[in-house]
Amino acid sequence: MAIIVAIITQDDVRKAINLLRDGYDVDVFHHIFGEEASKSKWLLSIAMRGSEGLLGLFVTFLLIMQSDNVLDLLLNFSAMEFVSLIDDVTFSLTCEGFFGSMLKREGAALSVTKYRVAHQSDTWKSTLSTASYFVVLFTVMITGWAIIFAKQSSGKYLCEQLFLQLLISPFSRANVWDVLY
Amino acid sequence: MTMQRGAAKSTEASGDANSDGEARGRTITLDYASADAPNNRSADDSSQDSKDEYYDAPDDAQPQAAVAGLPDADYYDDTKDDVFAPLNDNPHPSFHSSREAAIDLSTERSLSKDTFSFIIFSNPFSKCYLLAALVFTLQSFIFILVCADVIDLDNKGNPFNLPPNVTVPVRITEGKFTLPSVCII
Repeated sequence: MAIIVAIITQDDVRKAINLLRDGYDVDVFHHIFGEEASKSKWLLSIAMRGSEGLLGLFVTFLLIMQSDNVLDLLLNFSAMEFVSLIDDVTFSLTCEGFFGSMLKREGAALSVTKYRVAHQSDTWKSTLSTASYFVVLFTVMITGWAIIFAKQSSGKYLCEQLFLQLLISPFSRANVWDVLY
Repeated sequence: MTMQRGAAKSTEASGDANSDGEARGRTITLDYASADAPNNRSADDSSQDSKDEYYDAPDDAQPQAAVAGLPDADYYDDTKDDVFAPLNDNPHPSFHSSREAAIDLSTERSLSKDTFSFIIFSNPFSKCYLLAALVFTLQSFIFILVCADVIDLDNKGNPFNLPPNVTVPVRITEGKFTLPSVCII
C-alpha cells in the first residue's frame, strides 16, 4: 500500500518524464522563454528533477522496509513525502513574494507562460511512456519488496552470532548466574 | 422561461378544470391546439413535440406574469427561432465543443510549478536559478543524510538494517496484496 502511494505521489520523476516526452523544440523554447532557455538547461532541469525524485523514492522504500510497526512506517513515509514537496512549496512561497518582488515576478511569469508541442498528449505513444513509468517503478519496488520478504521469511536477517557474557555475582547466592548480555 | 411556461400551463389547467366540472378529479391533458387557443392552431401542429404546447400560451397568462413581477411576456417568447436554432442544428453542441477544446489543449503545455522550472526559465546564476539549485541541494542533502543514517556498510549480512521479520499489519501496510489489487484494477 505504501509502495503504491509512494510511486503515485512522487511527481518529480513523472514531471521529468513528461518533459522528456514533450521534447525540446529550439524555436518554441527560444520564442517563448527567450534565448537563455537552452537545451543544456532543459536537460539539467530533467536530470535534477529525476535524480531528486529517484533518490527520494529509494530512501522512502528503505524507510518503509526498515519499519517494524505501522506507525513508524507511516511517519517515516510522510516525512520523506514532505521533503519531496520542498520544491513545490518553495515555488508557492516565491509566487507569494516571500523571497522578494523580483522572484515573485519571475514566478508569476513562469506560471502563466504556456507553449505548444508538436504532438498531442493523448496519443498512444504518450500514454505508453506515462504508463511505462508507473509499470517500471512498480515492478522494481515490488520485486525489491518480494526479495526482502523472502529473505525475512527464510530467516536470513536473523542474528547469526550471539555473544553472552556470564559472570558470577558476588552479591548473589551460589549457583545463580547473572546474564549480562 | 421555465417559469413562464409553468405559469401558462397551470393557468390553462385551472381554467379547464373550472369551466368543465367533469374535468375535476381526473388527469387533464393540455391541448392548446383546441378551439380555445388564441391563435387557432391547426390540428397538424399538435403533432409537434410536447414543449410546443406551452409556447402558445393563452393571453390571460401574460397579465399574471406581469403581476408576479416578471418581465414582459415577449421576453419569454420561446417560439423565436434564435432560441432553439442551435439546439436543432446540433443536438450536443457542448459535447463536441469540449472535445475539440480538449484536443486543442492536449498540445498546450506549461512548465511545472516548482523550482526546477527556474533552471529552464531564468538566466544562469540569477536569483531564481540559485534558489532552484539551493532547493535541489537541500533536498539531496536531506536524502543523503537519511541514507547515511540508515545504511550500515559494516554490517555485511544486513547493510540496510532490515528487521528479521514484521507483523502482518506492517506487511500489509508495506505492500502485501498490492500486486493482486493492481491486477484487479
